[in-house]
Amino acid sequence: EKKLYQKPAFRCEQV
Amino acid sequence: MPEDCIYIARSSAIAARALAGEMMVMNSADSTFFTLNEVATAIFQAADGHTPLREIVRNQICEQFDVDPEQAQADAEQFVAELSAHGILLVSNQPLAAETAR
Repeated sequence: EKKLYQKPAFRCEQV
Repeated sequence: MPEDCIYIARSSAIAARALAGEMMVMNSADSTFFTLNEVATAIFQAADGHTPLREIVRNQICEQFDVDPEQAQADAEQFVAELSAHGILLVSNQPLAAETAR
């Protein structure tokens, strides 16, 4: 039942 | 900083909204916009300033995702350091006041 793990990450954009 | 004593809180200079399991975070200080993946979102949402990072990893990440606890802890520490460098999260070895609403 556990979800597939993905390394915590983020996408950064300039507004 | 000893890993057992890492506390994280959200900065007051941000606006955040969850959308389809991902968190959109806007940093008003420098007009940067961040999109967090699902695991990053879980850490971000648990950043209340009072719960140690190790506890967040154990109770949130390891409970929801299929991952080795030590791997999850190492990844979380790296992620927190990166987001802290962008001014999105505050990091301390003492409890912090969360500055934004969840």
